[in-house]
Amino acid sequence: MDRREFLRNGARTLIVAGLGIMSGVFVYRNYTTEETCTFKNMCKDCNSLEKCSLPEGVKYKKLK
Amino acid sequence: MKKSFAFISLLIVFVGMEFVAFSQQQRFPKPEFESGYTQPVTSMPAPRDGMFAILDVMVLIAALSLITWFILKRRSRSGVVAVSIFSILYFGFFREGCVCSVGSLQNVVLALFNPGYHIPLSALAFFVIPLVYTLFFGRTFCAGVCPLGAVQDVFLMRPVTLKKWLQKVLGLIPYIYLGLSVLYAATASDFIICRYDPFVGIFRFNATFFMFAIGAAFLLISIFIARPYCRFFCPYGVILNLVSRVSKNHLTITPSNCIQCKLCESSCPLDAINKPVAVKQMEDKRAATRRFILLSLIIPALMIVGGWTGANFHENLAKVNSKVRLADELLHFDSKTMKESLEIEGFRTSGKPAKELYLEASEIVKQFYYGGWILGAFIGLVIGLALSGLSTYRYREDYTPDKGNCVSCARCLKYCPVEKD
Repeated sequence: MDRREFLRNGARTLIVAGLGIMSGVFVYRNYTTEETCTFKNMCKDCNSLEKCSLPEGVKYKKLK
Repeated sequence: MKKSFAFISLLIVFVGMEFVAFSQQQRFPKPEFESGYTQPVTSMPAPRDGMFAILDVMVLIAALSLITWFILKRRSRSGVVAVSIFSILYFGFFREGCVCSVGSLQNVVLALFNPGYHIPLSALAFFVIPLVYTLFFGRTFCAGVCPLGAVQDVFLMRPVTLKKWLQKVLGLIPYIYLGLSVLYAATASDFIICRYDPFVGIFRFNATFFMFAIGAAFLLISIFIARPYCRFFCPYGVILNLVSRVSKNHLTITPSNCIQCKLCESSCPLDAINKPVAVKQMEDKRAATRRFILLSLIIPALMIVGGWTGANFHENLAKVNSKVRLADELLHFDSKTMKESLEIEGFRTSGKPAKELYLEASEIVKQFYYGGWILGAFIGLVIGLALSGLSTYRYREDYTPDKGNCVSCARCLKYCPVEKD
C-alpha cells in the first residue's frame, strides 16, 4: 500500500465513523429527548407561523 | 434522430404540464380573507406517512445499488439513462422532490446546531446513504438517482466545453451557496436550498412564475452546458465531490490497460477527464514547491479578510431571519405615519412583550456575527486552496476520470475500444 492509498483509507474510515456517530447521536436524541415545537414546521413554511394572525396561529402561540 | 425526437417530446411534455398547472391556478384562485391575510406560498408538501418514508429510503437504496451495478459492473450508459428516468418520475414527480438529499443537508445542520430539533429519519437516511455510496463507488448518486441531476442530464444534447478558468470561477459558487445554506440552517432562519430549488416547483406543478422561469432557464442551458446546477450551484455536490476523491472503487474509463488511443479525450461533457501529464512537461520540482508554499501562505490572509468582510455583513445576512426582520420592522414603526403591517399586527395579538422579541433578535444577530466570520473565512479558504491548487501538477500516465468532478454518467465508457480481460 503506497502513502496516498494509506491516506485515502484513513480518510474513508474517518468519514464512515463520523457519519455513523452523527447518525447514532441523532437517532438516540430523537428517542430520548422532547422535541421543541419551534422547529416543527421548518419544512412547511414555519416562518409564516410566527407572523400568522389567523385564530389557529394565535391560539398556538398562546399555548406555546 | 431518435434522440432528438425523444428530447422534443420530453420538452413538450414538461412545458405542456406546466401550462396546464398555471391555467388551473388561474381558474381556481386562492380565497381572500376579509382580514387581509394573504395565503403563504407552499414551499414544502405535507409530511409523508411513516410507511411511505421507509419505502422511499428502500427505493433510494435499490436505485443506488442498481445504478452502481450498471456503472461499475455492466458499464452500461443505457442502464444509467433508465435509472435516471425512473428517478425523475419517482423522486421528482411522485415524491415531489422532497426530502431530497440536497435539501437534507439543511436538516442535518439544523439538528447539529439545535438539540431541540428532531431530524426525520428519512431526511437523515437521504443525507447519509448517498455519501456512503460515494465513499465506496464514486458519485453514482449524481449519475442518475438525484432527480435534479437526472432531469438536467436528459436535456443535454449539444455539449459545449467551457473554458477552464470559467469553470474554476463558477465552481466557487457552490461553496458560497453551501456556506450560506449552512449559516441559515444553523441559525434556524431558513432552508434556502429548498426555497430556491429551480426544479422542485416544476416537479410539483406549483412553481411561481419566477422560479419556473429559473428552472426552465436551467433546463435550456442544460441542452448545451452539462448539468449547470450540479456543477455551479449544488451545495450537496460540494460534499460529494470531496468525498468522491477518496472513493474506493470509482468508475474507470478503460476496463483494462489504457492504450492511449485518445478516443475518450473529449467524450466528457463535464470536462472531468484527466489527461496524461508527461514527465518532461512537469515543472522543476523546487520552483513548483516554492510557489506552492507562497500561495499557501496567502490562505490565512484570505481567510482573515473573508471573515472580516463576512462579519461586517452580518446585519444584512441576519435580515433573512423572520424574528430579526420583525424586530427591525417594529423598531422602526411609527404609528403616526405608517400603517401597521400584518406581521406587526400578528405580533401584537400574541401579547408577547416587544423587549423579549428584541432580546431574541439581538441574540440571533450575534449568532450571525460569528457565523459571518466563519462563512467569510471558509470562502477565503476555498479561494486560497483553489489558487494553490492551480500550481500543483500530478504525473499521470493514462486518461483517468477526475474523481471529484466526475458524476459517473458513463458517457465516456462507450468511447473506449479496450475489451475487458
